[in-house]
Amino acid sequence: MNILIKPIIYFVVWLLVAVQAIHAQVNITATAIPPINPILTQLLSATGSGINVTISSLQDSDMEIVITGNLQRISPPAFSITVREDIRPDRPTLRLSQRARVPLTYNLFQRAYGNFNPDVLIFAGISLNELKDGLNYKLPEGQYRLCVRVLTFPELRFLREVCVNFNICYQAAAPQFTQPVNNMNLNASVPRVNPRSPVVFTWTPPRAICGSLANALSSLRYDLEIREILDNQTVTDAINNPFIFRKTLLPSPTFLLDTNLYKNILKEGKRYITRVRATVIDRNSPVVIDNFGYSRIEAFQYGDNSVVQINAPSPESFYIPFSERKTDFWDDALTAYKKKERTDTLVPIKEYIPLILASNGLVYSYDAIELLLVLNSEFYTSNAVRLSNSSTLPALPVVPQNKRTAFNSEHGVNLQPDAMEEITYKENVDSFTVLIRKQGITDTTARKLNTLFSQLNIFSQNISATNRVSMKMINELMAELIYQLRAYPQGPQNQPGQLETIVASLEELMAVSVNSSSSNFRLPFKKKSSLASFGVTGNSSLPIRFLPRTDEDGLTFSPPGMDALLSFDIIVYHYSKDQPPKPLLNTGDLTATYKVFYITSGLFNHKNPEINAKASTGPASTAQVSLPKTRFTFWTQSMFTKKQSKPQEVDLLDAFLNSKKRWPEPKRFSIVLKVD
Amino acid sequence: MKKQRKFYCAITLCCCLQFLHAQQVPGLNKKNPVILNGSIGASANFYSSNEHDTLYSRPSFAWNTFGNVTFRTKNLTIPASFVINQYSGSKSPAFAQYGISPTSKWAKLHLGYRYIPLSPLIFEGQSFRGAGLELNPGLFRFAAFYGRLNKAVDEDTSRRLFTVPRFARTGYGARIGIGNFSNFFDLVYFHAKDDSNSVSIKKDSLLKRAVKAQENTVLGSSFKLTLIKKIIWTGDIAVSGITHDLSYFDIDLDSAKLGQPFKYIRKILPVNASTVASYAGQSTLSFNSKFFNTSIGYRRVEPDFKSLGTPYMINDIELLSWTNNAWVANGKLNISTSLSQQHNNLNKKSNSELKTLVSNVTLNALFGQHVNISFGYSGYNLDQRNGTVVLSDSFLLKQQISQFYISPTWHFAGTTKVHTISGHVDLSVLDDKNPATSAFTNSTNLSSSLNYTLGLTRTPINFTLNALHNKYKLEANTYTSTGGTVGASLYLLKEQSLSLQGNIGYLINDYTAGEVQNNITYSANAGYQGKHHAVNLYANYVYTPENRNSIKIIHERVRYAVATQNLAGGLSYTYSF
Repeated sequence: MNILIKPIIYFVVWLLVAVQAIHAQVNITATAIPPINPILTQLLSATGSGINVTISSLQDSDMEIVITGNLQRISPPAFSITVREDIRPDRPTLRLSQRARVPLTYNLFQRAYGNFNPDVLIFAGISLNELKDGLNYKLPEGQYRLCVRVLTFPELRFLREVCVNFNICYQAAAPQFTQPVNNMNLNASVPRVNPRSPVVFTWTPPRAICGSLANALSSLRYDLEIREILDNQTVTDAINNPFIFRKTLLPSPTFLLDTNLYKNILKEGKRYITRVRATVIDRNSPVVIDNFGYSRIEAFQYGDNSVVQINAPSPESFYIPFSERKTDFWDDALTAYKKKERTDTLVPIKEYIPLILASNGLVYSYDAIELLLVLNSEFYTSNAVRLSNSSTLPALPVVPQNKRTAFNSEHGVNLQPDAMEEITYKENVDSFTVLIRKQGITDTTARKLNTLFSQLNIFSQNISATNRVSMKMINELMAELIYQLRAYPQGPQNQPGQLETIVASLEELMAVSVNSSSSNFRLPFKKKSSLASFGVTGNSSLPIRFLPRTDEDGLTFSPPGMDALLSFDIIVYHYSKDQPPKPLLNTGDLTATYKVFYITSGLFNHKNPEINAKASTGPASTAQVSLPKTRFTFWTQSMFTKKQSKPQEVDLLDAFLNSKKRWPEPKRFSIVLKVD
Repeated sequence: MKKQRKFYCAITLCCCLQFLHAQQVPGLNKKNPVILNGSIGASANFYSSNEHDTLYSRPSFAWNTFGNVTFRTKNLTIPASFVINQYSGSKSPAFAQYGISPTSKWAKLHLGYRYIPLSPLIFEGQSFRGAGLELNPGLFRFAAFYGRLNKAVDEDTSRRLFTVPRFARTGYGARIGIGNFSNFFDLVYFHAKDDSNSVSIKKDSLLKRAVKAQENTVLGSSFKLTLIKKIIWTGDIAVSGITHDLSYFDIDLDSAKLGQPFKYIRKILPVNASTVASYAGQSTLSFNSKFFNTSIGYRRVEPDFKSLGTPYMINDIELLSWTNNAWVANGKLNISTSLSQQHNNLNKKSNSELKTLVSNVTLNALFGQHVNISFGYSGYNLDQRNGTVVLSDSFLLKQQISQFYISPTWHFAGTTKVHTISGHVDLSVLDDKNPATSAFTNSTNLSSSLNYTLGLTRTPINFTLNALHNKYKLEANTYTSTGGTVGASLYLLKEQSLSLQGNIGYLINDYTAGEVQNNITYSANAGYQGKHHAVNLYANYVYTPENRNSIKIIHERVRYAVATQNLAGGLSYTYSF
């Protein structure tokens, strides 16, 4: 027995030494540094994270080797991909130089796996197609073992095998904002966040990490930051701006920004970006969050823009001066079409706008044009529309019945003369008579003043029939004229030509201010009037014949032209902050917040608009005014922010003349003004 | 190859510049008035607090200067802009951004930091520093740019502010198409490459493994079709090839089964084993009328889709959304709704799938001329489901977040006074259906406020009174804050161009899990708005009696509360011309 044991021991020792010698020809090391990329082509890595396999030669001579392998998923349901052993490779995978150290590159790995040719691989529990993920090949999540085996070539003698276990764990998707910006919305515009306290920021936690992030939820922390987007910046540019707010280590995916405690961080009308970064405070956690844990950068606008950007051409480009407008002609055409006396025809857009405004009682102005354009966006791109076109018209707010009744009484009083104004007028005329003889007045100016003097004398005969509103305005113009003449020729230099403007305004106002039962409406203009489209020059008159009528309130009122004062409703509008913005005419703030100011255009002072300006008795959209048929400058002011809107000129005579064709069914006159 | 590409770009730009120049010359003569308008300004802000400066919610000092200037002649518009800013704690030099975009009729040249959006999936939300050109004569649509997309950012070794190192990145892109604003079809190309020597990252840094120089090429198209002015159909599709690590192993494309897709893209993108290809698409169909708008949208972003020309985009998602907006009762009632459903795990490779359902309803109603009420509901349902394996319920994320708000406002104007009363109640509830996690995730937040503003019409003074009550419940603990503020605004000078505002507030706080202090807030604001000059000055001070325990509790558990004394202030000036 002992005789046998000894040789056996020798043999075993020899075998071990021999095997060791064979094994000692190569050495393989394999380490897995998480996270491991699930894409097959990126499974291996020479540096950094991934599976790092190195084959080292321990020989002093070159050798040819064949590398094969076996990739197994251990759990969940197992599968494996193994190189078939019955296929002999016709060439070595690698020629290993003496004492060389070679990392297993992707190309070597691919060659070891027969270029992933299904003919040389054994797929158990999975197929190559099932590994396909879009255009790439990707390992499903799970626990894996990769074994790399080195064989001699061409003998295919086993040299060494090494196995490494690793986890394939897809990166968790980064947090996704749900408030104040919902990332799950395909709308490309920057959303508006209503100013209120608190402003709520919520986001989804990182998700889908190896099926369970639940255990890691408690170890997640979030850093939230907000930065302002400056003009001409994109969202990615804004990342370089200083943060205006940051809160780190938030324990839950919600933050309530209390604007009472954090004041002046979010400012109305400004745009901001926000992003959140999720981090796992447990350093042993396998969780890796995409994009270093950062959410997508989300942009939002806090509150309203001070000026809403309307995607509409400027109303100025649609405006036609009175002298060039052919509203009368198109009005006739429209009337004939409605009576079926003519066929439908195309109307140029620029002419259609005053026609449609006039036929609905809206006074032609830049703001009214803009309102109509925004409501009918097809006007932007068309050159003309048909007479039969049905346009969208603004739904004007209704003035309450009690206000309407009270105003009608006030209007009746306004139509009455005022003895005090008559006295003031006479005093003004006396002063004016003295001043026009002043030395140094140029011939041109003197001629204008003499003409005015003649008209004042004629007008003096009618002052007892002139309403108090017009008389007051005439007196104010006279006072300003006297002031200018006293300073003449130095005069205020800031508004050149103002003296001529005042004279023209006086002439217009005197022409329209006398209450008359005459059927003729006289326009005593010397120069070519702005009403030239009616062919009016000099002392021409317009034959306008109307009959009194009773309105829906049971009140009898005179047709326009017979009363020197007309009543106007003043409507204000602004835009909603939706995208695209919509004009709003009937909100609570509009009817309660904006006060209307107006002044005859001849007295409007660009630098100090409030001088001599009159204010409506109530807030706009329920405000009504009695005014003579001349040109006025209107503007509004917010009673909260005290902001004034841009003044704009409105020709009330224009509105009156355009309404004559609609008698006895005229629309009530409305002046629309845009507020900021 | 690189030089050749630059040469071609330079030649193209020169030709385009020459063309633009040739187009402008006839319009430029001495008779054309030159209009110059714009604004220029600067601002500075500071913040100080008795907490550690790493916890500051704002930089201790920040400044910026900016300007926007537009020159206009009859035929040429030249908008130019600049921004320079910096803040304490920043490890980068002051950020400066400047650019100019001369525009003449249908041609626009961009120089400097400019932005030309090409497609939402390919190049959007990203500016470049370089040159670009847009040409839109008639129905022809063309845009191209070349420039730097990213400035290199080194690793922040101080660790005060986490900063991801970034390689300097250069890119170029082009869009060519046909159509106008309402109907068009575009083909889009974009390429970007990082300069792998531009960043220094410490060898032992964990970021060394994660931050790699990349190269990306994206091809795609966009279209928009408008039918009878009311129906709009848009679509975008993109195919991206990205090499995540330029220093990664090469790949033998000729024999590799896995490399097959890359055979086609290697002509436009250097390919190695870290290259992946993927695609994404989205489309919306909208109907717009005067009283009703509706839109259905669909987006699918395949796993691994990435374009270096857009801000980070979550991939492996499919999203379907439906939004509606209606105006009824003559515009007095506005109803908006939206419903979106999103899920991941498109190719069923993941162990789980997360479905997210978001619903939203907003009502805005006007009652008469004085009252309007807004009401809103938002619901978010996060439902994680089994994917390739069956998971224990305790591992799954199942949360329902509901948020309601109601805001009534009442306006009334007398002859001398204007009154506005508004209220706001906001209730948000997070209901975690997973009992294993609900103990530390369930929360209920209630915020309510009542505001009164009195405006005097004859004197430029407004007064405000505000009462609030907030209750935040997280886990088993509740934080309550009750208080109010009083304030006044005064408008001075001729056109009320000088405004002075101030308010004082007091908040009584209570926390069930420990002692917290009350807050006193002071705020003052002065602003001057002239025709050309605007100046604004503000200062806010929050006083909270110092209590270390309270600070610790707030810092660890109630991060939205304030337990410190802090002072914030700022000054800004803008000159408009």
